[in-house]
Amino acid sequence: MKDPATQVSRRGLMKNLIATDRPKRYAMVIDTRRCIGCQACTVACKSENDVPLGESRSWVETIEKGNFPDVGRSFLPRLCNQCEKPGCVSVCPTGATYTRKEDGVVAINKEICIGCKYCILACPYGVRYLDPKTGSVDKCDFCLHRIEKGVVPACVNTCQGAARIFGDINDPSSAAAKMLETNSVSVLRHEMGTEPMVFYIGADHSDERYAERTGVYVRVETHRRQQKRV
Amino acid sequence: MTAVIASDGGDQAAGPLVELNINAEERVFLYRLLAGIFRREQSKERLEELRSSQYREALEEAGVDLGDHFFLTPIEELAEELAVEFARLFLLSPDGRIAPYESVQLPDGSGQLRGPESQAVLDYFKATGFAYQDEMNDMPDHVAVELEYMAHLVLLESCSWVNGKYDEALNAIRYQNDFFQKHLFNWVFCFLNRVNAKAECAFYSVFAELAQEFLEDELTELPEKEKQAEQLLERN
Amino acid sequence: MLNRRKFIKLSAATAAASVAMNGTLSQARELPVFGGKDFSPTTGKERKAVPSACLNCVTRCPNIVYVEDGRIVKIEGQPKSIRSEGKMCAKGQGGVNQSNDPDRILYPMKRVGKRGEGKWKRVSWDDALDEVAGRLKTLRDAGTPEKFMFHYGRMKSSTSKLVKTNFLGAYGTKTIGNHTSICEGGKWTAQELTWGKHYDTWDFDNTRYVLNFGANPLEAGTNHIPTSHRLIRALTTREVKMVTIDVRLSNTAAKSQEWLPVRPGGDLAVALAMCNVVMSEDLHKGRGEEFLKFCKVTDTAEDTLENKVKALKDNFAQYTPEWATQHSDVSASAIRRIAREFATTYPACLISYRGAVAHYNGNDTERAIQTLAAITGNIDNPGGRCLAVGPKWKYPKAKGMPKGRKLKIVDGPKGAAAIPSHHMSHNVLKMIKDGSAGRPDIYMSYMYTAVYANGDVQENIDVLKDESLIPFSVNINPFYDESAALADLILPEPPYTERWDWDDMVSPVQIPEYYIRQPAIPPMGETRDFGTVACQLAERIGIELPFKTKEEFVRMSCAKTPAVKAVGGFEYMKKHGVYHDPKAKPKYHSYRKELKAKDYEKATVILDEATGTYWDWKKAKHKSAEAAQKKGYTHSKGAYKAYVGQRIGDKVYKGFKPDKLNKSGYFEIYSGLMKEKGYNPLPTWYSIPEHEKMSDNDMILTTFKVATQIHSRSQNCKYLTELYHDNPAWINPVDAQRRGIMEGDEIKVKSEVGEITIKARVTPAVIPGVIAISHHCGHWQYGRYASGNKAPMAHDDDPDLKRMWWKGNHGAHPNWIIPNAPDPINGQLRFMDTVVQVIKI
Repeated sequence: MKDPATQVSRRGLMKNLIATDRPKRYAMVIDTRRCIGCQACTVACKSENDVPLGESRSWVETIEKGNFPDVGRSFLPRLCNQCEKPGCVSVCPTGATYTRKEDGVVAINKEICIGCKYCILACPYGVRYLDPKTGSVDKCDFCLHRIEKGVVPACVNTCQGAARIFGDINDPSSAAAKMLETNSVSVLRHEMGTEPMVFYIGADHSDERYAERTGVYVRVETHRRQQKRV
Repeated sequence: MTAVIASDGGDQAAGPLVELNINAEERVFLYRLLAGIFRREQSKERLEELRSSQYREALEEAGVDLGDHFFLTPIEELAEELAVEFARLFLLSPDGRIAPYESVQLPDGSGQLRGPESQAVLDYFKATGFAYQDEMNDMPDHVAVELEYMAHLVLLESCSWVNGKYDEALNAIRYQNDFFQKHLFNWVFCFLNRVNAKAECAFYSVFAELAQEFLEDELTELPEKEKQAEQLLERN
Repeated sequence: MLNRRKFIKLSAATAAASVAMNGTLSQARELPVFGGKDFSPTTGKERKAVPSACLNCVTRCPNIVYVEDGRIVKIEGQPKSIRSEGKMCAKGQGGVNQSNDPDRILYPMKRVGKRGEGKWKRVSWDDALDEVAGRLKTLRDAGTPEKFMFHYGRMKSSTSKLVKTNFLGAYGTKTIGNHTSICEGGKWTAQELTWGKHYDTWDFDNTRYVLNFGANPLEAGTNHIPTSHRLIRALTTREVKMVTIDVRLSNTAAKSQEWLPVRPGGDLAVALAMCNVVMSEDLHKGRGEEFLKFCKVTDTAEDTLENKVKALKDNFAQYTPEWATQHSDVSASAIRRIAREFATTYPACLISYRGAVAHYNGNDTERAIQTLAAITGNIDNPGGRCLAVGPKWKYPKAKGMPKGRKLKIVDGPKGAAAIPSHHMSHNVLKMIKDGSAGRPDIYMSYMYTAVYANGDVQENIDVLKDESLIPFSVNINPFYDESAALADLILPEPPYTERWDWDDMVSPVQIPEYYIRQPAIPPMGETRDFGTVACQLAERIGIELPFKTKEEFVRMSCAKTPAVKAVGGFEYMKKHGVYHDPKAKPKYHSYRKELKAKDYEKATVILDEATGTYWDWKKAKHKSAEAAQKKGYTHSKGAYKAYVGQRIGDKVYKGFKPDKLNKSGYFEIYSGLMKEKGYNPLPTWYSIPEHEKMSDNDMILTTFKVATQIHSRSQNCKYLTELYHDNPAWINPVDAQRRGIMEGDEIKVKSEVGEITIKARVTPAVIPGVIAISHHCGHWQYGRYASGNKAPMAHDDDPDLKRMWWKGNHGAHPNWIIPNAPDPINGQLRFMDTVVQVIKI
């Protein structure tokens, strides 16, 4: 069951994007119907970006739901939403975190970051972490080091179900733009006003509140150190 | 190597030069001694040497007590016992070995065997003109190799003092300080603490303590030495 | 402050020799002038791409290993592979952790003190090889080579051909154990009784319907990525319907349109009932009937279609869906509906694995499943369950091999299984304990953990520890696992990321793909590929092998294999990693191929009237055609190797080539071999004895796998174990409530052979009556990530452990309470049958 609050007005979205001056707008569409919860993307990201144990840039949550025998399980891949209105950028005291003019990716200049962690608090999605090795905050950056050389992000490369569709949604011929055009999508925590650029098709946004309301079994697992879903 | 004093430095320099050289020689010896302790199991020949009266005296006077067990146990038995302890500490142990590598021991490092830290050390060796070739194909950031490297640098320093080449000596000291700060210092004390905690044979805890004391001295003395060498160079 | 002055006397005396060994550093040039702050030179950090092959599971997908500064930094799928199409699962990606595992063994280690005490010392390879070769030579010279037992777990392709075919073959021992009976041995035996050689590949690219008995291809499986990515593609882009029959909601069941919860062992009832539906509603007409031409359904070699149909109808008549409900808890209406859907949607793919087969009645479960596919014409067809197609490598082989001798300890006690064609490896230690069939003097294990992977863990430990039962044991391993801990000598092998192989796993597109594995970085420390070690042992023993190293073996094989040689041999494979013939056509319906007269009208080929099989009596080691005819094809030992073709009517077909058993060239729904052993020749219902005797309060323990781990040897990979390190037991809310168990409670699970304490996961995703525990956790060795082992008094700021946030939380291993009980027909370990009591602590 989809919570209508998370649905995004497609027309409003496209209007927003066309209005921006950016040459590109990288975004990701995740078709959860194709996700089989194999966690290959989680490990690919971990090794590609040398993410320390105990932190994650990308992970896959499972939502198990239903009373026996009508039980289902669905999967929700998570990563930085590369928000159009990022809370992290607005609170950063040094400007280390910023939105790239050329493609909208929210990046971090590790040299400038002082590790104050204000941004970690400001992010409603729990995707930022303090890297103990560098002392700077870090997060998913759509594998900038790869996309700048024309290679897809590590998670996209490995996905068995081709569930992650990455591309420039300012380009109407891109696969990502086409997916947005032809599918009903939802985003996470729409009410926060961050305008995420990660769109979900077929996602189940149920959580424990649903269980309380309906008496149906719901279990949400993050499969990472931070067991509470953000 | 006995000190040969070059006379071109003038009598004013001769005194300190001898001192500096002797100091360097002592340090070369200690670096090598310690490298040998951690490198691999002690052979019977080596143990005989360590039990010789020369060594025994020197160690005692330096406050290093290897204990009666070390000196009185038949050599075969002792060698076996220490080989087992060496394996238990550094090679294979049911409750986890203390992998003697910078990449594994460095706090907040990669924790990996042959991690990026290992390559950084190898790069350092190469950049300073040293080729690394190990017959046992072990990693370049092994504690024994890093100690051996320091020994090489101090030997270079020592030779420079002997030949009155202040600039070369200073160069060698700068590298010692740099390598110590960039690599050895950041992890070796952590490592030695663990060895001390886990060692069951006095041999290894005693030498771990010796290493700790020596390297702590190095920590304070190396920057001093650099300054001292700079001054000497200026004056000459 | 250290008084260093005292050392000057020593330094004078001992000078440069005081290190007393060879140093590692030599000064190649002058110390450069110390300038500036950026002293380290910047090397151009280009990631080197090395095409290779994974071995983090048996699927062995081609991969690309990226190397930077001499270190493996990333592993990705190989886009040029027709098998994996560039995809890679979590396990394969986790391979980056193998080479850099800080708990790796880098040198040969010899036991000190009592076996299992955990005390070791390093020895040189020379010493290690001298000792092993010396002992091996002694046995061989005494004429008792069979007392050298070699027990492997994961050993395939070129490693197998080098070690097993060449080294062990030339040595003369046939006391060789594998692990297949804890894996899919039972499935393979059932297939050998029906259509011949394993594997069954699943053609998801062309199917329209998937019916799944107990398989979990989206998380695990023998040909995992090649099938799983095609399966999800089929489900999402072509709206293929999938139904999964399983005791729990695996991820595969979750992605299926329907999950039919089934009672353990009930899969057989459901499969029989579906055959009943097909036959009683005449759904076999058309394609099923066509296929029956190639089937043996009665005891007559060439029977009429009418007789065959009648025999099938008669056999399955009693297995109505209503009958099946009592034994499976699947509703009759669902059975009927799904059977109809399956039979009328063509092509349909019928898949099955351990969930259905690792039971007392597993043999006939797989046979019934084969039958269901056969009677709907879904065998070896596009979109169906197909005979496996893989590359055929040629390799060097030593000449003049002796006739091997063996101790009869790998097939379990006599009579424990009727047809253990894949052995009963989980009973090897029991047999050694028993001793009546002899005991090996040397027990050598390779990529095999006898302790952890089998059932009855305590007994495994007790036998391996006992020097009176096993005088000398050698373990070959990159890591210190529960079995290495009980060895006398550990020979360190590098992990697969540093090894050579040619490889040959089958391809679900029915086109063979040749590929190799090559070291991304040179082996670290003094680790050596065991293939090379085998050559070195051979040399010391005085055995001549035509190669000296594994690399050489691979290179020679590339030169010998025509398809590979033609494109450039070894050099080509090193550069590209994979090769398939771009003009090759997928192989379907291979059984229909008609043989030409010259293929079977040979001097040494005769027709066995009883079975209609053409076979070569000389190849079957008979002295004459007459002697062969007298003995007959079925009863001549190893006659299946001499199979030529199958006569059906006035033609001779390639048919279904037998393997391991002397089956005819028919698809044998009716198995004369089973009849001879006293079993029903057609698929039959057997109930599970323990389950019949269960008390009301008992439960059945089932085991399973997850997407991020393999059975026992991936848990040292920290990225994988970070994701899955704890394995709470799945229990249905109904069962939990009855016992006062809440989510996260500690519970005791007790069986005949032991008990474990584990946490409870109360979930409706498992059928009531069943408690489900995965294999992967509960290691007490295998490194810090898997077991949390650390040196005593290690501090909390210990860098190894600081970031391992799950330390102390390593799950529980179910194998302690699972007996090594075999399927009575094929010897498979019955992982899914254990009766247990579950109590809240």
